Amino acid sequence: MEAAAELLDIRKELSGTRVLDGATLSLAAGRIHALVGPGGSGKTLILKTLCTLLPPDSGQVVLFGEPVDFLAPEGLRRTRARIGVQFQNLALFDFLSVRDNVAFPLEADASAAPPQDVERRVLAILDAVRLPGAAALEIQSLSGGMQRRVAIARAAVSDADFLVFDDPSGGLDPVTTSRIFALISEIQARRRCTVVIASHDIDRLARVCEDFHVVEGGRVIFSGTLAEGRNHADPRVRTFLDVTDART
Amino acid sequence: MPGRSLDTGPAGAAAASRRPRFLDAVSAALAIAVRPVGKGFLDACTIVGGMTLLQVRIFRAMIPPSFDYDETLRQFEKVGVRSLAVVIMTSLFVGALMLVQTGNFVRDTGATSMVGWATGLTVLAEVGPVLIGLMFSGRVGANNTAELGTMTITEQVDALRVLGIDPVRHLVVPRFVAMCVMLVLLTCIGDLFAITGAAIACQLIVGIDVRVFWQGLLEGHLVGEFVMGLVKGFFFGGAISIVSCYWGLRVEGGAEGVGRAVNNSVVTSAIAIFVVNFLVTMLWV
Repeated sequence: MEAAAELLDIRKELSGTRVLDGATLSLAAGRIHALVGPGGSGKTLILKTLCTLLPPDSGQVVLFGEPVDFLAPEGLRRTRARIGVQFQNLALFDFLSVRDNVAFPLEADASAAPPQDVERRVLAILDAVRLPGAAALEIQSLSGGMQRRVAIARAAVSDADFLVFDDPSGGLDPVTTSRIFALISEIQARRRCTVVIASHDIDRLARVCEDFHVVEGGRVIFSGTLAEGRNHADPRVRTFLDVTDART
Repeated sequence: MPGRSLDTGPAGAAAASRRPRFLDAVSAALAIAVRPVGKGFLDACTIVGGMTLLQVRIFRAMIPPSFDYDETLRQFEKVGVRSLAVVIMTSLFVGALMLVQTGNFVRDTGATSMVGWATGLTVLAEVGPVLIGLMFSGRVGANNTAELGTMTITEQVDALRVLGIDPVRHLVVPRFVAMCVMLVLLTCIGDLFAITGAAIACQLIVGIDVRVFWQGLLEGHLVGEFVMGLVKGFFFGGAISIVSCYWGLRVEGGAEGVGRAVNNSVVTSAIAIFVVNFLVTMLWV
């Protein structure tokens, strides 16, 4: 199956510490992938590398079949226009309203959508994340959970080919979490885009994700289905993919 | 052919084994002494190089001028209008203080006609732009670093980049333009209030007729000094914006990192102001 995104032997040092140590990962196009692993294992850094935000010290990033040239700004801009990201820290612009935050990816690229279409899409995605009527609110006036839903809406509002969600369920109640995962699944089914979700919520990931990737010590130690992972020889993989042990 | 023996006996062997250890100790001591100097030099090169690159990126983003005009206007209000009260108060009192410090001496020596010229020269050429620059870097530069630093650690800058928006064009260029323009205007206003403060002190505190002060000031032909002060204000604004944006965009860690960056920004801005002041003065006179 064709890969939408690939990392090939990625190494990265930050402040003298090796944070990615030969990470190799292939995300098949048109599928939902789960990225799991203990805190500090390098999940967020892998996602940032996939989003072209973290240039590696060595190794290669391949997106949509093309090797990424981190020194070519125009090429990077074109590649990034095909990626939607929900950041772990949400990264909402606190000087903009909810509506302006969600509309930002559409309005940043003027050719992406006509103005009337922008409004329609913003209202539809806000409704989908259960924030109808919140468009005019300021970001600071929202709770943490509501801000997370705005971040998810912003990531999903454009027609990105590759959606990245870094901990989409953090701080959300179980009902909203289920709805968010269902929404991600629905978007993926409708657009046939490639989705990668980093989360510790294995039981919810199990409901929507087709492929699982386990990260440990800055490298990917397993890629495969959940069933394969649970029968894997490496106990670290089994432990992490076991629902009963997942939240330890 | 018998070869020459290297064996010099027990004493020679001891000396030979002592020599490498001595050399090792010396080189280790040298390394300990030199390493911080080398690290400091490399760090300084990294900072200066980073700021130079940022400057180049700012100029590249401005040609052709396609930056965010709304954000630039917002920055004009934020860095200029909101700094007005601080600049007016500081200038008024510094102008008055300068005249009080020199006024008594001038009156005692009878050179009262010099008081207006001396105050004007000092205020317009040096004290006005430098003092306002330092106030500006403390208020606006520090705030700018904290704001960009917070945006960096909360991944807002990354969000811009992944949305295909150049953070330099969107965040840095409006601040650069606003700081350059507004610091010129603030220097102009600051000069006016510093001289007003000096005139008030001249009449009310030192007891020299204010007409003597104005006459000395106007006859001093200080237009060149006034323009030099404005040119300094322009370059100070550029230096403060580059320094504060540089530190803000390279914040690492959380709140502690932002605090460190603000501290670095204020210190580096102050150094930059004095260096730029020296260079402009040297080129001007």
